[in-house]
Amino acid sequence: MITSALLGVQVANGLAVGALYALMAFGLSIIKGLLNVPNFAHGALFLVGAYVAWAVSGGSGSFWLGLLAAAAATALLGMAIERLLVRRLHRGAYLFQLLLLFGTALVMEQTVIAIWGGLGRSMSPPPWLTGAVDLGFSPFPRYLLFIVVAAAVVIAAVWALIERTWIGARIRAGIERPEMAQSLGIDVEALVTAAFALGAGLAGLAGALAAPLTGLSVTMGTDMLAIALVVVVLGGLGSIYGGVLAGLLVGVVQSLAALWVPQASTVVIYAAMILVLAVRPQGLLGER
Amino acid sequence: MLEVADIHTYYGNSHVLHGISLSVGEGEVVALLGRNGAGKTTTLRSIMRLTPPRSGRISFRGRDLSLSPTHGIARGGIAYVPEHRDPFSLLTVRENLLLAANPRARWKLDDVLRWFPALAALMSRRGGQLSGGQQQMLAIGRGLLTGPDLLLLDEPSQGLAPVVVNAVLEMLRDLKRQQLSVLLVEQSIRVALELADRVYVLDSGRVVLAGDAAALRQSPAQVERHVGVGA
Ligand SMILES: Nc1ncnc2c1ncn2[C@@H]1O[C@H](COP(=O)(O)OP(=O)(O)OP(=O)(O)O)[C@@H](O)[C@H]1O
Ligand SMILES: [Mg+2]
Repeated sequence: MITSALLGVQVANGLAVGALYALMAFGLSIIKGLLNVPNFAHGALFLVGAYVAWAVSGGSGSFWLGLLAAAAATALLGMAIERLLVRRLHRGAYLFQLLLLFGTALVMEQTVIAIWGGLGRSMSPPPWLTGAVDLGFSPFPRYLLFIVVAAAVVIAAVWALIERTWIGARIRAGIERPEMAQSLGIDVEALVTAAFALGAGLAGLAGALAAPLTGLSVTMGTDMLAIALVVVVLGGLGSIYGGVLAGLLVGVVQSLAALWVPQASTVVIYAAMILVLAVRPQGLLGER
Repeated sequence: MLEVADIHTYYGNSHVLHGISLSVGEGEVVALLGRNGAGKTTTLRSIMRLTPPRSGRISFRGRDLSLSPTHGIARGGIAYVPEHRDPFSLLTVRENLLLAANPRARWKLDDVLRWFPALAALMSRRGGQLSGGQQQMLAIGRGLLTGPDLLLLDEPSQGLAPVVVNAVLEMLRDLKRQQLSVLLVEQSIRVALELADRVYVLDSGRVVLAGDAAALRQSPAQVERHVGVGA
């Protein structure tokens, strides 16, 4: 029997998971915009974010410090990956960049295993985020609400940075016409590094937010990357915001599908992708 | 102020510039003429290091440009307005004009709008929604707002309506009076000889004729022979 409360909780769950997908897809799209390559290390950055948050909040007792450390550590890692590795490959060496990022992901995953072991871990949200708020028709678990709000605030802030500041205008210019932007004195290389750090930090933050929700496992990054790539395609490759919308949709659809066909909730996502692309090959917000 | 000495530039394996040398002096307008495919655009791209020369030397105010990335060359005082003048399509006209503006530039937004009043009404329109003439005015304005001491202009009047061409030429005369150094790629021999102090004619990646515009005005046939008929 599916009650309205159960439905409500599943929608809440879907929105929270969807908010994580949205953060992941947003970061992937920003990086892809400037680098023209899907960041195959994005899942590993998600994983690192989760473990750093777990270790730091466990060690310090501060949940916030855990979040901050996860975002900062992954942003720095992203900066290093771009500066020290990706940049060495020639622009347009697409396949090699993918392989390099894929290899980097493996190294990060194995490093996490080497430091923290291959066993899963669990992490509980801070006491003030346990329990649920009552929305009248259904309860909404506090931590899920926190994920949704946190993701919304961060995405809104990054949106404002990109759409409402001169740095953002330069990023948009660099995405569209890198040569022209450079000819105007804009350091596109530095923007690429910054964008990579920003996208990586979003992935790390998503991992940190996910840790208390799903627990930690060494395969969480790989699983997340597969879905996040689907979400980016669904959202539309040309649009950096399409993935945000698609992420929320996928989260809710997946979560509701779990009520009726629990074994197939992941298959449903791929089916949805095929369906959407059949109708709108450019994705939800993409332009063609 | 700009010295280009014996540069050789390639696209992949195809050798396009075969030892080009030229110079632009302080406050001088220099025109670059030549048939389609002669290497005019490639010369400008070489100066900006968008297609870096494999050999030869380019210096600007005595500074070797091979040591700077493209954005550093631009910040060092050279503005490049390419022949593909497409604006950033999702940015507004205002954003396009100001995103790389230099507060110490000699010309301000007001000056650009005085030369090109048509832009004033379009400030909040997206770059992607402009006509060809509006795009060219935007591209030149944007270049000037970066505060250059040398302007590289690639075929600024190509394919434009006569009104716009006149506005662009009027602005160029103004800039010349104000002693801005310009390296101008032009198709029209008449325009080039009128505006320029000196002229270089390129053919197949080589300089085939160099001279004072004043002298060549007396015998334009010399230039026409290298550039081709109808120009
Ligand atoms: N991206 C490129 N790849 C390969 N060859 C190129 C490229 N761009 C130009 N070329 C070749 O280099 C040569 C010089 O081209 P360039 O664009 O410099 O000529 P141009 O004098 O500017 O001509 P136009 O008057 O048509 O603009 C031509 O033969 C052209 O075919
Ligand atoms: Mg050309």
